[in-house]
Amino acid sequence: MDLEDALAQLPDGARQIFVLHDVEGYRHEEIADLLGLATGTSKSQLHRARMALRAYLA
Amino acid sequence: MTRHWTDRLSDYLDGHLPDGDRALLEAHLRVCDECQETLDDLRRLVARAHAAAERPIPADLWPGIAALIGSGGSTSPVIDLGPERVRRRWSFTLPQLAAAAVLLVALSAGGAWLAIHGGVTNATSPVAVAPSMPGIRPASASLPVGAEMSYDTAIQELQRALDAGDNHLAPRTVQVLRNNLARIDTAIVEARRALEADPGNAYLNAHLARTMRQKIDLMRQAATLANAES
Repeated sequence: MDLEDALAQLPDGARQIFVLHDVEGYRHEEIADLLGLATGTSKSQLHRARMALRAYLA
Repeated sequence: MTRHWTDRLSDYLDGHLPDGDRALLEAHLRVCDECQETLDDLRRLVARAHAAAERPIPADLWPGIAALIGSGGSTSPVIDLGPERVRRRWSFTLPQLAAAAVLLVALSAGGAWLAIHGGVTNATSPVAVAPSMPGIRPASASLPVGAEMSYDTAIQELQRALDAGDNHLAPRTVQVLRNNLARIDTAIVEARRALEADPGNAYLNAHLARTMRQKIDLMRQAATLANAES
């Protein structure tokens, strides 16, 4: 499975945060502001997204 | 491997762990192969995501963009983007900002190309959120497609503001700005044309909204800077 296919399997929120942080290079503070989240939520969602992608790509 | 440590691997990878926690995690990594393997996988995943951001964009756009981003533009206003941004550590001058706007439009256009040629379905988009310009507070939502009257009004107002402040910007800055706005206009025309052929395509709709938003953001920033100089 390639990265785009794996991304498509993520829930919308987790995908948005992964793309903004790891692809686009936005900081958690900016993502939190953009999506109306707490910074901690952005961090925890990013980790969940990464772990899920790791499993999809294994 | 414990959940406690696994949950902290991303913070560690991103350099967000306090010193004490980082030392404890590193001690754990030395004795836990499973956590170390997970960390290695996450590191590879992040590298892959970074590489995805550097996918080829339409060849006719890239040389100009690269040249502009690399140019000094020392006479232009500078926007501080903060020291921590991963791949945008530098400060942008207005010409660089204009070039970056075109780059983002081009990246979005790459996705639109995939959408047209079957790489992306109507149901999903490879880029879920339209990031706004670096250094510009991102909008909370994309410009609604179809809200073209308010878009045109916004553009007219910004154009007037920009015209009023034009003579306070360096001539080269004005030239770069106008060239890049023209490129964005071309992208808007192309997106509208593609949508005529496939009006229900979710990615194309989002791409058009993103492109229009980029133009508004760039013009707003330029007008603000131009008038601040006056």
